[in-house]
Amino acid sequence: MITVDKRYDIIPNDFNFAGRASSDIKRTLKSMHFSREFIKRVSVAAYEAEINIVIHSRGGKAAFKISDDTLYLEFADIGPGIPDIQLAMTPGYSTASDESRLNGFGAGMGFSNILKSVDKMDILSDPNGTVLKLKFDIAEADRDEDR
Amino acid sequence: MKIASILQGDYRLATRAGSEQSDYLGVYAGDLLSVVMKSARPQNVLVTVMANLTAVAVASLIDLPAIVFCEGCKATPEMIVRADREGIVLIETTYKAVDVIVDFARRGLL
Repeated sequence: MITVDKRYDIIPNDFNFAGRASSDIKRTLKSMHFSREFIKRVSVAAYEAEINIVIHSRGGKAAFKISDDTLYLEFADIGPGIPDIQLAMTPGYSTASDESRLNGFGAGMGFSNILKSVDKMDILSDPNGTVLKLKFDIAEADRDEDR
Repeated sequence: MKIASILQGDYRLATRAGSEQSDYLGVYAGDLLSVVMKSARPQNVLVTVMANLTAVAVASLIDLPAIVFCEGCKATPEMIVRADREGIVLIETTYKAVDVIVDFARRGLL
């Protein structure tokens, strides 16, 4: 059964707006009484993915869905794509702008943080855009906070 | 520990009065926000020179109740509004990050 199904727009190069999707995802999970540890895992992955779209893309969208015992996040942008996904996954590798670095990002840790947080990650990229799909398995212990 | 206990000497509260009455548990110092997200623990006070809206957003996201902006870095009005809305305490100091940590250790605030 689907209990959450939300969509967000992500604006490129707008650090004032960056994080709105991730913040709403966090608030939603908190209101549903997920554990703090689970919320942190999802929030960190969501924020890194959102920031990647802000920093590197021409804009995009995020989708957040919970269906039975699985949480899904999908981030899709409209390009210019990642030329070498393996290289982009290397911790420390970054093509971020100076502005991104001044905002505390662009250290090449984004994918590394995402991979540590998720149960499954799929990524497809070409010059027309990148689609990042993240999956989190929800265990019984993830649901019991503050009840 | 109360965040208010930090506010002695060269530490200035930038957010609204009263916000400093909340609690914290430990301190994390760092400027790369991806590393902060990975390593800071919930309820840590963040010590950083990264005085921008993304630092406030990260603090909100991973439950950091306060940020100490060091080396004279200032919180902007936009940051203060957002931090007040999210319940995050912003503190400014002229100390370097290492001096903040040494000062906290001396005062038993770590």
